[in-house]
Amino acid sequence: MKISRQTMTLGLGLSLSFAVSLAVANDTAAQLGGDKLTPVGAERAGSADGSIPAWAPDWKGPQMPEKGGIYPDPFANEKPLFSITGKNMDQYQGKLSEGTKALLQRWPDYKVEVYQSHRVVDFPGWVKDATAKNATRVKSTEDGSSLEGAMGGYPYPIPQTGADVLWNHNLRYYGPAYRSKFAGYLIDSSGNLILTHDLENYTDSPYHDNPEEPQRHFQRRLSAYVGPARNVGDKTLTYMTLNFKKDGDNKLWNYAQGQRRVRLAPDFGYDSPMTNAGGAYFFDELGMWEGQLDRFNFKLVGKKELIVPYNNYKLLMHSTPQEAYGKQFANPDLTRWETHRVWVVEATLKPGQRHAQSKKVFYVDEDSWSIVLYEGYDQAGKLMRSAQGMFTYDWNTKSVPNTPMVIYDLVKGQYCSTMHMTGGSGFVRVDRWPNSRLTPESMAGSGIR
Amino acid sequence: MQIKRKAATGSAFLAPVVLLGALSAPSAQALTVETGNPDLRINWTTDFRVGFGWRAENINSALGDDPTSHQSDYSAHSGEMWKRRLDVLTEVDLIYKEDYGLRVSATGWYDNAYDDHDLKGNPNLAGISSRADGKLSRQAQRYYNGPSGELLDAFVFGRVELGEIPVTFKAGQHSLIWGVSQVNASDSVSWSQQPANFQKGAESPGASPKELAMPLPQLSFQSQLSDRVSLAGYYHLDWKPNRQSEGGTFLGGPDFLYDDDGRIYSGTVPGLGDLYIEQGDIVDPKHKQRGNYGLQLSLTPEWYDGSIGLVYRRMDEMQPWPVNFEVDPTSITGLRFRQVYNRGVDLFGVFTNFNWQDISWGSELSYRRGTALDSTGGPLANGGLDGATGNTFHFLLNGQAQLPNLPLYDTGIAVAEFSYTYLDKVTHNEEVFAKCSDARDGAGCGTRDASSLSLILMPSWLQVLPGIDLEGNLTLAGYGLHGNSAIPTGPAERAFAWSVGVTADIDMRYKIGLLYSDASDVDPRIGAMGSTDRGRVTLTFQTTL
Repeated sequence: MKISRQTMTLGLGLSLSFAVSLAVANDTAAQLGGDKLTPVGAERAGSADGSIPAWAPDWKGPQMPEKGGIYPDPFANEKPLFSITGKNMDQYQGKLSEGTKALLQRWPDYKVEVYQSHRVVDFPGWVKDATAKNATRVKSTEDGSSLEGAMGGYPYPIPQTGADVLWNHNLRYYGPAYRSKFAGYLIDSSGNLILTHDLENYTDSPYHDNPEEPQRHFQRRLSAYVGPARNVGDKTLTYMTLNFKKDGDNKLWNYAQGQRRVRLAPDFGYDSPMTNAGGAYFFDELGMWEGQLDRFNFKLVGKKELIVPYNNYKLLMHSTPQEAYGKQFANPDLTRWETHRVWVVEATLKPGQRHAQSKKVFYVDEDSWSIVLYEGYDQAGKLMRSAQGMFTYDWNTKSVPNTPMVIYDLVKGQYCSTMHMTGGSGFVRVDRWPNSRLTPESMAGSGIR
Repeated sequence: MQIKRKAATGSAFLAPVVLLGALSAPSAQALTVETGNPDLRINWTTDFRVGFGWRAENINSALGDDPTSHQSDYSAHSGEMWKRRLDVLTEVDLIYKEDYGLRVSATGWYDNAYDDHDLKGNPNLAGISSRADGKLSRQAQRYYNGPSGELLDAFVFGRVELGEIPVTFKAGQHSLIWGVSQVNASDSVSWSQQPANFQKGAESPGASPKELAMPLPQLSFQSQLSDRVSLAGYYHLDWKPNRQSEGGTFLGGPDFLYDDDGRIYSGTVPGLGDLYIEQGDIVDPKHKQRGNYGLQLSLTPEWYDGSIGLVYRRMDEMQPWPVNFEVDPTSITGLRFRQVYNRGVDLFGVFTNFNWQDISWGSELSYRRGTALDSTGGPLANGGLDGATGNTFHFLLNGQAQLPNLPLYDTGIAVAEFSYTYLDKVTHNEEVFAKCSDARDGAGCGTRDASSLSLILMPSWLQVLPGIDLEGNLTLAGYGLHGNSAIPTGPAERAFAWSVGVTADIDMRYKIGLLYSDASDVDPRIGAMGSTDRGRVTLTFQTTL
């Protein structure tokens, strides 16, 4: 194995910083699960003004099907505490992200309905144990683009860098293997609702399914398209790697109909526009962040109390797409916002790197480590993208399955919803598939069209 | 007697170009039938495609004055329509518990431009016809004019566990294309794996790969032997030839091919009149139910970030020697000609697919034993009907990449493919091997080696108007870099086919495409990659009704 000069220099630097992190790490392990921090690093206590409650791990959700699926809305009967529009948003300046403010300013009839906050996200004991252990065993590169040593739980419950936070998002616990059927929509600049994809998906995480052994992959997804009509029969397989330098880049294979063979897709990532979504978002904006961290510097700005989308069971799982998505924005009467503490990460493009955006800002929920809000700024520093993460908490398995997103393309005046569940199946837990079902060759062999 | 042109070999490239059809597939109306049973799913989709074609280039006298190609060339004048065609593809999948079920698909068509079955022709060559009845061949009448249709896929599929090893299988009519080739099928491990629909590939932009790789009755399986090793195989239960552009149609090559009752004009003798070499029965594999099978081993080793495939195939070829002469004492000309399909070829191949520098690379290397080579047509002294055969090496290298970031477009894909053909040895009928003295010689001859380059650029402009995406397409197919391929299809030096066009994708449901296509070649050879004077414009609507 060749070791470049750069790696050697890094190595020297790392050994110093490793010593420092070890000290922090031991400290961390002691704090987690204590009286100040939750086992995954959130602050236990509520906020000073009471808008954020204390962490409530003993919350029990209503009865839901044993295998999951469409979750009942645990807060269906609640009414908003207050409403924010462009007119009164100045009152809430400090509690709104730039991206949310931009939407309020853009449309006079856009509203942010703020409800009672519920901090109910909890995880299984073994995830919490693994998280504590990760504090002492995780290693990352200088720029945080690769991860080593973490197993089974959150790698950075007490993050030091912005990249740490994004890895927590990447490795959030989505629960046991699941299938989901969901649809994505583009609402174009004239307000037309267009189906972009309707697919049946299987997702699992070797990282979480094998918490005792280091793994190469942290997500595997096999998707079979059932809509729109021209995509019926298409299939894709995705593997995401923890350590790009050691185990290669993320891979995506496409199945070719009529030939019944598969091909590795070229590395579309970063700022390649999603062609099946009118270019409303980039590949690295899928789920608000996906892909490799090597082009940006991720700065951990700090923590904020912010009004963020949260507990959006109603929008995602109990509203039809026609009800949920209006001509310009998602229906504010069906969208739920709450006040929570979030980590703020600002990513700036590294000098010499190429990307259509100069800056990305992520707002990550402290309890679930899911990105709940995101903004993208163009090369001139102007806001071009504002997105909302509509994650749902599965209280049966104590997990947060993959994050549906509503993302606004402020340049073209269009927006997308990527994983609408109503009419689909929700997240249904299944027995984990054997590896033999998840190879590109078996995707070809079981191709029907 | 030598036929002056390689019979429409260019189409071997044009059709495989549409191997990429998946990237611009027809739009369709889908129906997911509610069965009430969560284990049972039925998908039913129907594509509609309406295409209009106009000729944009004048008749070239070298082709139009030739008594063996004037009837195709005169089927439309510049400015006239040569196509008014409706294509329908309907598909039904019945899937039980993910792994079991059946699939049936069928296609239908009608082209109003071919309603008149009388062949056109050069007025100066009146009376000279490659078809005795002066009408389109039965093949042309069915596949061009219609209305007609055919069954495509018709198979059952399932999954069994052999011990710990899962095996998926398909039984019935379906198609499989192995290897990684993107454009060039002649040099691929997938050569003659499925009959290719060159007719649709040449004249129907937007045709799906599901129509272009025509299904055959076969048994196929795939099994994951371990996490890193997979085995796949197939056994054909029938053999069918490639479907060609028919003589007398706008994109036809020689007028006398490919149905079985064309004849070759060979001169006018005062007193005897026009003389023709008649066609005898087509020589194709005697035992179509056996002799065509293949096995593929796929490996994804720990030390390699891509996959490696090892292939062995035994095949009867699906592209004929178009004109092999035999002595016919009953004919004034003393000759008869036959279309002959070569049988019993062994193919050993290896291919790989991997990502490097953000590009998806594919490469193949194959060796064919006893493969058909360019032949003069003979006749052979020993009276045999086959052409020359021999052993050849084939190499492909292709890449798929994102177009570089330029303000000219929003995003896009580029595909490039390089091919290399090497003739190792002529093993049979060397006296009829058509060896070129110069690569620019008349078509149908082969040099020791040959190479080609194909390039496809597909830029996209997203949401140029609300709901409308535009996709451009610039294709250069099979440009012959050097040499002439020693096999009957494949590149010829400085010959190529090309097309440029744009498609509007409306609401992700409807497509309207405009395309200009043509072929080019060096003088005096015309048409190694398709007749060079058929520059044409096609307008295609793909829609849901």
